[in-house]
Amino acid sequence: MTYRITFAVTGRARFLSHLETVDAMLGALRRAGYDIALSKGMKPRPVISLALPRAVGVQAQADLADVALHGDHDPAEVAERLDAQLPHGIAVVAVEPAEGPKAAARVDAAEYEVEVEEDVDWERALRAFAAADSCEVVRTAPNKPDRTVDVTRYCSSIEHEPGLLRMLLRMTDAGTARPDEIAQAVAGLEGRTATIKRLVRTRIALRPQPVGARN
Amino acid sequence: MGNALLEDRIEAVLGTVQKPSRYIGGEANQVRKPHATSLVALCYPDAYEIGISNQALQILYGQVNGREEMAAERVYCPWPDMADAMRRQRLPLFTLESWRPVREADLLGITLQAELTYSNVLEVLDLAGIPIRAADRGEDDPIVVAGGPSASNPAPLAPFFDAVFMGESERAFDAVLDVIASVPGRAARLARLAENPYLYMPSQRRHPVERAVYADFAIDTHPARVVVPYSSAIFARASVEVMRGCTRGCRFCHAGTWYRPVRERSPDEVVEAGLAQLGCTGYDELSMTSLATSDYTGIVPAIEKIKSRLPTLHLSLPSNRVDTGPVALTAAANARQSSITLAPEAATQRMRDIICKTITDEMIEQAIEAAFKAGYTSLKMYFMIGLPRETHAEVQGIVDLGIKAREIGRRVRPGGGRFSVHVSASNFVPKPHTPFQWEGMASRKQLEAKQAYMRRAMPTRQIRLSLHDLRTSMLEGALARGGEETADVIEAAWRGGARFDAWSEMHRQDAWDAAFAAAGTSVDEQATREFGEWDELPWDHVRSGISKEFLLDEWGQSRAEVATGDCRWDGCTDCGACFGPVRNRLVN
Repeated sequence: MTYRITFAVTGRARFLSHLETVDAMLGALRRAGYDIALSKGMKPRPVISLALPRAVGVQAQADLADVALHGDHDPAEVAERLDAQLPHGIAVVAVEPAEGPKAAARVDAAEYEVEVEEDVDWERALRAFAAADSCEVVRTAPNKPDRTVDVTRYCSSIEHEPGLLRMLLRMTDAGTARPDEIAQAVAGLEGRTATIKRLVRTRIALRPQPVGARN
Repeated sequence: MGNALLEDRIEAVLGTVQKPSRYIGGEANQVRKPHATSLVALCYPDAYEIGISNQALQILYGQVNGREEMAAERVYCPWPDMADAMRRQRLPLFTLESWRPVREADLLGITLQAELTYSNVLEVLDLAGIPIRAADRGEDDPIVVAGGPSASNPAPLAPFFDAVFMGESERAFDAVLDVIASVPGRAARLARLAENPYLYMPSQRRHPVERAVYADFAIDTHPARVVVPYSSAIFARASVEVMRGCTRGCRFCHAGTWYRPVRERSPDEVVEAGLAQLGCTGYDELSMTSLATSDYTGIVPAIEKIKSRLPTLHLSLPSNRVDTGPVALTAAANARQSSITLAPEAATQRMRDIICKTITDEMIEQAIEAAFKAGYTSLKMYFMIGLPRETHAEVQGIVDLGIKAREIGRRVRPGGGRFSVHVSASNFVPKPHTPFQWEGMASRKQLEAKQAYMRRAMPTRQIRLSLHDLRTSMLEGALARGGEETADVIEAAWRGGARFDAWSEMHRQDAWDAAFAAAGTSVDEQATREFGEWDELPWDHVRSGISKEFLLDEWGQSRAEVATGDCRWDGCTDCGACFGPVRNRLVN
């Protein structure tokens, strides 16, 4: 039986890496007494997948993990027992039975709140951003050539309230943009650099399941 | 400074460093006690992923937290990127549990598991804002106590510690904690601690000090709720200590004298403690630890009982004797593993007689054959080079044994399947309290020549050779038997940039060379220094319980190339370890 776990990562736990988050989840399930299903093959691995990796330092309010457990369990009980075993800062929001393709294959968009300083005229910058045909940022990575990306393609919506940028970013086959990239791109239109205090992923939106879809 | 403000500043720095999970705490089974009246900071002076795997600190963590009024909180040595950022931001070193400054602790306990962490001890003290020399500390500073196996020669770090605890912490360290709990004030506490027979007080210069032995070795001190590290740790499995001490008598081995006599736990205790820790941690592997687990006389019933309770559990048995029985046991215990490790230590009978490793060529070959027949596809063999009185024949012997293992593999591997032989040769470093404490290390030139020869002579097809970094080995040798004059060298090297000396990429040969040169000597001179049998040794005042006469006899036997028996089976060797309730205690 596969369960979809909605969980929050706050406080210091946001400094865990994606892999460490997965391991923390698996360890907590085992301590809670659940028997995690293993993949078939030469090197059996626990069947778990997180819908979207979370960058180190980013908080999450409702990230998603699909995990296969042996046996049938009451989702509310899984939620309670798992929550009791998770490291400090990772908390279960909800558990429900998962059907159809795993969440990781259906991610449509992710919603972020970016806490920023008010040292940029964000309203004016956002108007410029909305009017721009394209807005390019340079993406640098170690051991890779720099890449120029037009971030407007990935930003479905963005709004400002004092101290905060709220944005919905699309996940496409061609890729996506990071929330800090968007904030910098917008600030760049005003000739400024954004001071980012905190990044929070508030929601992961899944594509609706096609009728009759199966695993 | 308010704690909330400190937290914000720490978080700001964590966003800029590698692996910030090293500093956040909050792991499963972490203990937080906000209402405790005293704080004990427990430090392993290396990176989180090394320190969190240490069993001794997990035992101490439980021992301190078992007391109502005390909180134990962990601290490791911040990686250089973090340390540099902390200095830039003027952030004090903090504990993982509550992010409190380490300097606010009543006691800071630092475990010394290896000489190559010595520069990190100074790094930790400095980052904590604690004066590195005990003489400069004031009433507000914690009492800084060392422990662990390398503390058995307290001289090289003596000026940096207020006290050095000798031996096993269970029960005996309670007396130290009692003083912290009941006596206020640093000066008064130090005065009371000076009465403890297991504490060496460096300010009182080379007074006699005893080694604490946990005679009961009772199961109630075995930790169940151990902290479960984030995934970066080097070991992520449950463990149960089945036995403490070893009387095989290998003459190079520090643990082989320092943890005498042998004390075994009953198979029932082992099973219950192992299952309890598995339940609390969620691990899927259990390691049965000791210095030589195949010597544990309850091994067969213990494995059978665990397997009957948890048939799919992966059991691992590290540190096994080179023989067919242990190989078969290891294979039976864990079907998942594809590699097995044997430690013949030396490849020729002559050298094994010198070091008192009582196994024969025949046993080694049979063990190799048994390993390949059991289906292992990777065989790892550990050796040492640079042992006393080593000739070309011994080095050639390692090469020959590597080739022999490959031949055996080709002959017996079922279906002629793929396999590899991994030969690892480390550089012998003489250690205090062993029969080889008087010996000098082989010179750098000799070791270089031996390594070069092995690289040339060892075939590469199906054999992998790994040799140890000479820079770190020579430094380990220079520090291990150092006297109090070595403290100035360590401080100078640390001021010159040395830290994380065991990590090749961090090793600062230049800083150490300059520091030893300033003291009128060199790494090599110190490492290769020989002592005469009448010389006073820097650690002579540390009463390990093993008599100097026994060590001298053993040194003599080594020169006569005669091995000595194991007192568990071959009669007492009169080493001095046993007295009163302290004696070998076997379950079978």
